[in-house]
Amino acid sequence: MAQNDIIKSIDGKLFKKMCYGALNRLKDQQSYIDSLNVFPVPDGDTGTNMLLTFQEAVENLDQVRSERIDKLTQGLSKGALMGARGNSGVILSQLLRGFSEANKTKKVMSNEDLIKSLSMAAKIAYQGVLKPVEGTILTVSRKAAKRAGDLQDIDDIDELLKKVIESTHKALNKTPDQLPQLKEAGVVDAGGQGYLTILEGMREGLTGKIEVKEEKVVKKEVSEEEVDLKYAYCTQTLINVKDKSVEIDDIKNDIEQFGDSLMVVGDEEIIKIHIHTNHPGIILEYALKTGSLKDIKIDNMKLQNAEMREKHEMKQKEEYEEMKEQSTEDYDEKLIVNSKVKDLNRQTAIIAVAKGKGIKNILMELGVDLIIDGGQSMNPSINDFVEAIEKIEQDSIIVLPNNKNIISAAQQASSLSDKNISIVETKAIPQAIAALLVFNDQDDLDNIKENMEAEIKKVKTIEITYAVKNSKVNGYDIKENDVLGLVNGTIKAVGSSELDVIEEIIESDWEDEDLITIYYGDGASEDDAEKIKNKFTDKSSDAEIEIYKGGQPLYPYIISLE
Amino acid sequence: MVKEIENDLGKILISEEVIETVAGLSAMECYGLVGMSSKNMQDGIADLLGWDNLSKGVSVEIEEDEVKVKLNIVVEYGTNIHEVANNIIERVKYTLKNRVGIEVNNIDINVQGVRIGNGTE
Repeated sequence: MAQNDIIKSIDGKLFKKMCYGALNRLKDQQSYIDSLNVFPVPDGDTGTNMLLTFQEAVENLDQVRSERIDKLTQGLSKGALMGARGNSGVILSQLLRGFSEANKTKKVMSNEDLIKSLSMAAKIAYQGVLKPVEGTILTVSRKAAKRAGDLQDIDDIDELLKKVIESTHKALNKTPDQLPQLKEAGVVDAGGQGYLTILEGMREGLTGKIEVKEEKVVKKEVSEEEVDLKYAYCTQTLINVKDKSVEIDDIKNDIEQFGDSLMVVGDEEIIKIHIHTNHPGIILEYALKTGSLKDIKIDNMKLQNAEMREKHEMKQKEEYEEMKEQSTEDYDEKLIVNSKVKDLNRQTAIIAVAKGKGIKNILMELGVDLIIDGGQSMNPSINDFVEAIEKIEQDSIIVLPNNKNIISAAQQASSLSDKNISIVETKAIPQAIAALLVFNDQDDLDNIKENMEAEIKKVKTIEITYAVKNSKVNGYDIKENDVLGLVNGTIKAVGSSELDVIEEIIESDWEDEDLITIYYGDGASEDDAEKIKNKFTDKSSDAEIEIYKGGQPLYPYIISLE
Repeated sequence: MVKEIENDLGKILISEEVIETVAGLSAMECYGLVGMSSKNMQDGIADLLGWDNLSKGVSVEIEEDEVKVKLNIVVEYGTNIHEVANNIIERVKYTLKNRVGIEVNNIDINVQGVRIGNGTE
């Protein structure tokens, strides 16, 4: 390796860069690490926990008013200790403590010190657990340390780290052999991956790759300044909406032309507008048409100094996040009662489980009394069902779970209730829609169930989603982020683009369908859905095809064929 | 006392000892916990317990529907004790819910000792 300069020691500045590098890498890999979680833990957030812990550690590092390695590693360790989140966070804090212990009284870090740090990190981490399990971050850190111990004679720290990282990677790849749970799921240990990510990031910081990322940040600030010069007034107002039919998207479209940094958020009752504009008056006049105004705020941004602006933006962002949270909470509420159906005085009520605003609305249009928020990977609890059942006045209830993993919760809930509950085992939204179309309130519960079940069999459901991790199913070798095409819950096609996958399914599973409905979800647009529609028209010119905005998460498209 | 779970076919009875052992074992999987200590407060000494009698460091109270778990633990010096305790609560709650099928209403953690490892001065 003919590097220009050999890095023989790490001084304070360089160490900081290494930590920033690690933090950046960790940020990039956060969701990947989260997706590796299989070890029986309450929640899959190893990546998030490690990131938050390391973030706090780096923040504390920045507070250190010294360039000495001992002070800096101590700061890092202390920050991690205070900010430790979750099991993996606590382990990380111990690893960093090892780093700090190894560098006591050191002004700069030599290659030997680094080797000692890695070994101390593993040693201290091992002390904190009663019965160390092999195949975890502990194993990975130990092997990294062992490898480093054999590399005493390498002067170049970059080269040293490179070799250590190679071994760490190998150790990580062996974790599935050590821990059966990992093997079963076909993943490596999440914490171990986190440790590798940190080492990789440190090396990136060491060799200077990190500079690029810092530049990016600087550029962004510059462009924001330009924006601020273009539009002078930051204008904000809350609107108490008169007309409930007002769509946030419409407002956005209407005032977009008057400025930028536009944010329009809210719900049926209250909407917040935030815009940078040169004509605050026009914005306020427009807002007045929508409803009465509250908390109007207009700031001349040109007069504020840079620091003030930064603080202000932060606050706005917080407020906006808060608003956003509130407004999503509104239609993500656990239980939504459909008030329109209530007046019909029906003898049988219907409860359905669904996710996505559009789909919920469609179901309510079709006469669902109550919707429980939930779906794939967001299963409602038995308790949610019990609450839902209690909310319904009628004694006779149809439940549409709309996911095979939710059926058992629905069954258990129904056994807890005295009411007459019939569960129609729908496994996807299109089945629920088909079932709702044959609902006849005059019939008795058993007949309704029978009719619905017969109807469900006629519907074919295609679901398009993305693989969250590498795995092998049905003979398909699936890579993370591959597009998966499921027909009635079974994987039938795997590919790299949504359109290709759909085309493959159309080719292999076509059965002369004449009614096709496409529900496009988060991450898909109406234009994309139109393209899919064309694929179907190519296949069968007389099929009737409808497109709806489902707004469901995880599945860009759910397609029903009848 | 035992915890009763009823379904259509009959009853499942789970004894306190079982819950104690499961809670103890799952807590020990948590990072930062290095031992359990005797639950007998009168001893006055937080003695480290071995694997065999780890349930001694755990006490479970069952009253009607309520299940309360109390763990007496020893943690490693230098860890964030508060976070370790939180992790244990989460883990025990999760394990009892998913492996045993019971909801725990209350988990108390008594940190009775801190162990100073030998790698540090």
